[in-house]
Amino acid sequence: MPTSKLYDIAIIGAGCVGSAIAQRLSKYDIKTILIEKESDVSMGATKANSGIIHQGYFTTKGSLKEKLCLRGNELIDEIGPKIGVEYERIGAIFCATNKIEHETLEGEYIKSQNRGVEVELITELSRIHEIEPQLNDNVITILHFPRAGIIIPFELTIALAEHAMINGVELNLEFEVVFIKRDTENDVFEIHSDDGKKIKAKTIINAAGIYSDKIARMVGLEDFIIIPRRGEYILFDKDSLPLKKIIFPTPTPASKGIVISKTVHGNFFIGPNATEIESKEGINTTSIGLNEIIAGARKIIKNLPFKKNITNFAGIRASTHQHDFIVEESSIPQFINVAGIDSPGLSSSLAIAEMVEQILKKKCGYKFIKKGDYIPTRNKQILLSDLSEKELSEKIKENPQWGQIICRCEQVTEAEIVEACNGPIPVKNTDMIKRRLRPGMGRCQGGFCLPKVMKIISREKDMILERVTKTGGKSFIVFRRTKLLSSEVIDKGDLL
Amino acid sequence: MENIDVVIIGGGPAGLAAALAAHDEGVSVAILERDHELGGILQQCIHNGFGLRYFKEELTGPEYAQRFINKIKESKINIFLNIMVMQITSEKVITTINPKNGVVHFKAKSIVLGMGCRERTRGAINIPGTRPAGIFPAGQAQRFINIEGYFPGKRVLILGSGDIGMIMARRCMMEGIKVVAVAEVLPYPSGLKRNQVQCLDDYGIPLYLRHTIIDIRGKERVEGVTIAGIDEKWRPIPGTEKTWDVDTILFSVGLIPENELSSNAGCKIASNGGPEVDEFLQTTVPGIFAAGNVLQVHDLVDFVTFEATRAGINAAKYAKDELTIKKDQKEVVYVKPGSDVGYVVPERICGIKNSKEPYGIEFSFRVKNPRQNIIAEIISKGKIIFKRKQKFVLPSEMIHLKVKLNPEDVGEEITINIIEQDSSINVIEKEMLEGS
Repeated sequence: MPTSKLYDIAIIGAGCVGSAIAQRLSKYDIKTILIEKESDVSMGATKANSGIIHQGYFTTKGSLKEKLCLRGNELIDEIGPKIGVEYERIGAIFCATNKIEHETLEGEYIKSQNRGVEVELITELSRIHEIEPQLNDNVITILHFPRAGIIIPFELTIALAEHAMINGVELNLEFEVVFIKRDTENDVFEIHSDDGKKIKAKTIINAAGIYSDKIARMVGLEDFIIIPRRGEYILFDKDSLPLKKIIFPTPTPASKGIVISKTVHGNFFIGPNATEIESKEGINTTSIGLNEIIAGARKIIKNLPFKKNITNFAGIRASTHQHDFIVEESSIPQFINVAGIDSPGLSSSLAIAEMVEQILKKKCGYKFIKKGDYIPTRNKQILLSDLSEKELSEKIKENPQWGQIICRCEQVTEAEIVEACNGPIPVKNTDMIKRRLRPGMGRCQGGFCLPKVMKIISREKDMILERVTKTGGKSFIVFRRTKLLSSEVIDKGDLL
Repeated sequence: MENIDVVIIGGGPAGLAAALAAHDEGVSVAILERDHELGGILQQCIHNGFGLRYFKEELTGPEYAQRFINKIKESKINIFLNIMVMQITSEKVITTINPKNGVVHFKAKSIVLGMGCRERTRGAINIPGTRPAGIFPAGQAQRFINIEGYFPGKRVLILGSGDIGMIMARRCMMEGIKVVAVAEVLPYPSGLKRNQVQCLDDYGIPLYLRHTIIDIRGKERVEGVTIAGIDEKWRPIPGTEKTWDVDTILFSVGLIPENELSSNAGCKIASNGGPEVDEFLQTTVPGIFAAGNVLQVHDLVDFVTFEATRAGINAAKYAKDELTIKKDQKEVVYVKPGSDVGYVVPERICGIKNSKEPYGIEFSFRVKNPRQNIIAEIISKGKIIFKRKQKFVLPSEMIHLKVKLNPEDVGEEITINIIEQDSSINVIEKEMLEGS
């Protein structure tokens, strides 16, 4: 990339928020670049969270969280179908098991009505169990939000980022910002990477998630710190429990509690707990944490199918002491902070982008002129599961790779993987394929398909198998051939 | 639509034996195999130890498979490779896809399920820690080394002393990959004794029993692992932690029969993860049979061959309408795993009640705990109707009981128990047994 190129706007962080902002700005004649330190979008707090489109519940009156969550919930209907992302409004229920909890739910019921939110308080036991048959018998009251929904956070983020890219936004992956220089004479920021690259932009949007405090400090801002709060999850196999709703306990001031919810793809999960941790990279799971979420889930539902769990994982929330989102132009002109985006951040992301657009217009002097060649939609990649038998036959005739199943658990063909490899975001590793098409997400967790996916990436990207990583960087999967011909023995070096 | 008498799902050891047996009965047979070659998982099992029971000689996995493949190639069995079965219906219509011919349907008179099993994953046993590259199911590491020809790592810890784990410990050492330890959550090795001796002891690899992984470190690639001893409630015991810097962790923590197709076809799945079958190895869907690791995880491939041969013969007989039992069996006898028995195959017996003479049945099962000086007994109507003395039983080894039962001795159900010799029988019976 030529270092001299000057961008109008550089968005630091390609999580759901950064990507939503990029997608929003891509409509306009503005030179925008999205910068991300990882090898893919959606790799921070976005990657591992509950994937719920909340409905403003249990937010503080008048807070940004309240306002943006409600607006974000609406916006998904406007944007989701255009960018080809699946979501389902299955509705959320909060469950009370005693009188105190019942009163909490009653209070929230009134608050929600005042917010103008569709909501129902149900105390009739037969109806409670009709709405969600998996609930424990000790649930006496539920608060039902029918417009809450489920979405896969990284699918949303990939769709947003790709739609932005289709419309000219540049995505710069593996660019870890290490310092930012303010050129006050020319009103330009110089953003420097760890490996000596440089990007110049007039405006910075700091959407760096758990690292947003670090980025803010690079320009001298110290008005907030991010407190990483880890949340652990356990994921269960498809069809292992027929859940109808997103199920919450009655929240406490500290947390929304352990959620039990199905996913768009028919799995279900339990989690998260909330543990404040030191490290921004502490996405390890712990025995204590996993036991905590199991105990939490058991309080609300019966029949947790223990032999059907397929993986556990943890994500980090980018929380602050302010307890509300920070979405504002900072004391440094043209430096916008979008920080402290913990729950309901995913639900709010599209509304945050809308708010950032307003800030850019009102405070930063941007005039938004629509691009003449704006492409309003992004087509979702066609999947095997979308095809009828006849359509599939046609596809296989055209391209035999449609007849080659690579992942048996999730039923993914070679053709789909090849297409994803050559998508707008350059695919370099197996996790990127996993997030796009799900091989490795299923019950065998890649036990069968990993070598096959590696070979396809190696072929499509013209790199030796040893260079194919799990998730970028040095996450190599294999490190050397076991047997080499003497003519082949060259010092490739051990990659590990 | 291709019409075939017996369709075999899977070309691994079970499918190969079932196909040959069915073919010998004079019916048309097809094998549907998703890989580009026959043999299944045997192709990556390049160690020896296969065939001692069946061929009375010691073969490697590929050699064992090849003996069947050669016979199949000489036969009229239809082999379909690179073909993926997407669905099986209870009417025995099989939907497949493959790169050459697209979507193809088969209509079978009977089916033998031989899909084998998959490996239990790290996530399924809730092992905490980070999730970097370098964590492999042992069988996948075996594939990387033996088939793909790549080193999956340099320093390895293995969790689980299942057979694949122990075999891989030795395989790694042979390739110059250092195995720092094998940890096992149970108080005894979960694989065969011979593998413990030949793969761990002979290579000086320490085996930590009653230990599990309590932490995995590393962001991009595995950097280290910590194991700890566990108490009787399987909780880690503080102070017993041991940590290694390793770049790789292999999991050999059990196999799970692959029954998503069976289940969608309407086959009832039993508690061991395999389809519920009768003494003909027929599932709850008439005409669909099961054999090999899809039915129950076996210790030796030889037993897979024996079992699949039976399934193949019965499937062919069903296709020819010669299977003696009626489809709507009313007088079913259910078989229950009793004390210290994990599961029993078959789960139900259909033919005994209508039999006029002693009825031969072959049971196979596993015990829950290693025991010495035991009796395997079969009980029905409150009486012992069969017993056999055995010096040792281990959970890693299948037990096979070939018995003949008198129909009048059998009630609505029978139970198989493992009991200690002394506590269970009186002195006279004991003398009788010892004299026998």
